[in-house]
Amino acid sequence: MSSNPSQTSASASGAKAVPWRRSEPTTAQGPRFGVVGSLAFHGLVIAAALFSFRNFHTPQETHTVPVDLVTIAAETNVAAQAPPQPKPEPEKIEIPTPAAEPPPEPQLAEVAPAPDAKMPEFDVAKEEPKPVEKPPEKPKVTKKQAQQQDFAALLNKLTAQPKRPKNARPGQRVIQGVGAGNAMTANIADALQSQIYRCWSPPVGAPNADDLIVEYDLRLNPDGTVAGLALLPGSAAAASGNSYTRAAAEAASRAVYQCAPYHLPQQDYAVWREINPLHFDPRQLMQQ
Amino acid sequence: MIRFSKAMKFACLSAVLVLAAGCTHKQEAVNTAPPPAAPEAPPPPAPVTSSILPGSAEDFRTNVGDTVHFALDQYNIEAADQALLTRQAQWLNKYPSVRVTIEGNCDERGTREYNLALGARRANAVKEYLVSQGVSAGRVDTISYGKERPICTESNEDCWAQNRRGVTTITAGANT
Amino acid sequence: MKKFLVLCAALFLGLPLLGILAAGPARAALSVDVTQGNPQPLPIAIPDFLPGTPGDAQAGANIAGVVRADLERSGLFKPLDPNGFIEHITSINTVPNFQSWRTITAQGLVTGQVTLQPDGRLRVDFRLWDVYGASQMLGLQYFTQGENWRRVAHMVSDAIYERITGEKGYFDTRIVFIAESGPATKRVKRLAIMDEDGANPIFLTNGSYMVLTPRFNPSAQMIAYMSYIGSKPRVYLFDIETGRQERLGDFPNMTFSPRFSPDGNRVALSLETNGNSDIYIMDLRNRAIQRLTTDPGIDTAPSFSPDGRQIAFESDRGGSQQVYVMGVDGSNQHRISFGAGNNGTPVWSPRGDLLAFTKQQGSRFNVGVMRPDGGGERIITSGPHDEGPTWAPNGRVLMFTRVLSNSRGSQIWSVDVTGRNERRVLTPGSASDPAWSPLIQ
Repeated sequence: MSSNPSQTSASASGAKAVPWRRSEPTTAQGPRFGVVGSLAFHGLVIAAALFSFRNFHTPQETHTVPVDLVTIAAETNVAAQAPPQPKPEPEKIEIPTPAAEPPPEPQLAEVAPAPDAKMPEFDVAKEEPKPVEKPPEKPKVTKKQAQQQDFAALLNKLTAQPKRPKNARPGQRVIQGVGAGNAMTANIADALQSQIYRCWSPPVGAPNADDLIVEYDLRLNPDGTVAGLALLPGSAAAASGNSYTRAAAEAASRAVYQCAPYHLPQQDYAVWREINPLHFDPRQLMQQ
Repeated sequence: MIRFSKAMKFACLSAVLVLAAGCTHKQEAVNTAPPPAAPEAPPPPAPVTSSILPGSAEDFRTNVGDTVHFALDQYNIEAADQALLTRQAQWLNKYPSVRVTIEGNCDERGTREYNLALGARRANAVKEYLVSQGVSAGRVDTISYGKERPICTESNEDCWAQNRRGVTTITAGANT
Repeated sequence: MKKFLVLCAALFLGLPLLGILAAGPARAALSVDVTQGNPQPLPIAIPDFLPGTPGDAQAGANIAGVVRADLERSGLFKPLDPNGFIEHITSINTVPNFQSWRTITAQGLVTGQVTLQPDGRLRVDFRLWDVYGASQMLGLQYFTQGENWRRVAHMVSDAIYERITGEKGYFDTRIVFIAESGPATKRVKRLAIMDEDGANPIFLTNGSYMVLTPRFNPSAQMIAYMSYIGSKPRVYLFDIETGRQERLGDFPNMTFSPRFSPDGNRVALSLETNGNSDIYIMDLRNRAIQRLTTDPGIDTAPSFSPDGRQIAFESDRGGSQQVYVMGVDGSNQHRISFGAGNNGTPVWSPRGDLLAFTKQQGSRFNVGVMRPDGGGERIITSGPHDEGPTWAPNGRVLMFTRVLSNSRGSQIWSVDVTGRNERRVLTPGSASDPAWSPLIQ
């Protein structure tokens, strides 16, 4: 249980300790400069982060977080206060697996011949029935893995960074492409967390809680539906060798799809179009 | 004597009539049911103690006493029971062909296995006391029933106290 | 020279910019931690299995019914009411309309078919579908004799359970227990066996002598138990296939509380001598006996660790009944339970991570679990008189005896290791001392 608590507990508390400030200017969107200006601005932002200007505000355009998030982000236990969300609309879930996954129809075609190809007969000599061997895994898995490799290459730099600085404060957080990190992004993270967790039913009876920690890359459409969901390579590797981890990964995936679409501030789509890592950690849950 | 006998006869007759009436009534009420078993005759009055055969199991139970009791989770012979066990030993020494088994029992407040072991301790404690009073160890067997043989089935201290017991039962050699 | 300066300037100015470019990924990514959850039974749709021939409809309904009941009983699944199904499954070889199953909130779907073969055997095919993932998670096929349909159903349940939860199932197992009848003062106790779901109960002894504490061997073919036959309480072995009973060893005094080693070659038990109970091991291959404890306290209820190297047991050598652990050779005997009250009947989990035990405080008994080092003690049953735990082979679920009262008798109950999902196991009449078999081979 305590083998690696620092990373996740620190980031968890970081996410939850975000104080909510209702109308205070919380973020700034960089004005549209040229490329050089943009680069300079990003350099400035990074420099700001590096020098730990904790209450760094750029007093330019202000941005007010929409009201519907107010009820969500106030306290650590945001979930309890979250308004009930409408049931997920299944018709919007086009493909539950990552975007590059083949659409359902081809899968159907793969499955249909299965009885011949994948369900060989099995005879039992005695009266006791025995299961046949499991059919070989579908090629889908290898596709997924290959795709995850692509993701790994693409996101290598990002995932190599610490997920979240220890004792992070909102003002220190940096979201590239948006501007200075701040309470707004933390609140979006909280909002998303509070919408996902209600659908998350991890296999809490597992003997080793650490086996149940999984991480996804989640991409969302502007309407809050799932555009793509892929296990990060580390989790995929773990899931391939540990049935508990696989079950945990599948439970997390079901949660993501079941609770979609997500209701997040439209104007901040740039912030939440990709969630990486989407980190599932049931250890607190299992201690209850 | 005559009056008493008449009274007894009357009482017996009345009892039989009442029982018969009961039977008739029952048969009427439930026509399709098979006839109930014939009622048992009233048991004869218990024989007076003086008729107990010396050296019999009944003699031992009635005139000596076969049961000692234990405190919760204990197996030492309490002072109050030492006199009883001494009488048991004397009786056994008087009838040297008698063999006995000591049954060790517990109340329900213990797990099954633990109570089997505790019952064995209690039975053995009784046996050791008898042996210390001159009874040959070869005449005394022990058996533990743990909590499986309660004589009182309520869940209260009074019942539990009754169930925590060692019972000396005659298995062979008694007069009959 | 000028070129050099320009180059230097370019490098000086440009490198940090390049660095920034490299450091900044091509797209934004927010990190989100989900640490709270909402453990709920998984909604799963299990329509009646399709009949391969018109005569197989009843078999298909029966098997699906057993699978639904198995999964529901586990507490981890919520089989949905078939009356609410939108799609009518007509073939197991076409892909379901997942949309219609999402509409009724199903997250899993099981489609199956039962066919009586010309040779008289029953063929059972089934598929488990991930409704949101729109993909097949599992597809299996079984052949069996017709009278074995319940076992096939349990195997289907086990396969679904394992695929969804990541751990082995336990539905294709049996329970040996003590069937009780008659008044408390003359309770008749018979050895009995039933399926894990309470079906097919069978008496193994006739009740003319008392039997207690049955335990399975690892192949589920042999039962070790204590019998009072001939008023000589001793440990016996019962061969389920032949019905043959055999007294284990030739001990002069009471032997009790037997339990098999994980390899099935040895039995640990208690032997009482002059009122003192100690733990011994008998090797079933050569009947050699080894004494493990020698102290004057009560030492009983031995239970092997799954690796066969250690034995947990209970002892009152320290003044009260507590749980101890020792090496399988009797070495390093040490107390591990330091919680309140008395603690006994330790039973090692098949997966090794926990010991189940009985905690007694006054007249209150509860089943709890603790780690093999004694830490992490948790009470998992609600009492007031629960004792004698036994583990499902996957180490996830336990059964135990719930004593109602001396006069009202006992029942068998089950509970998840988390303490959730406490429920009664239906038995014909009063019952106690359950012992869970391994998965049947």
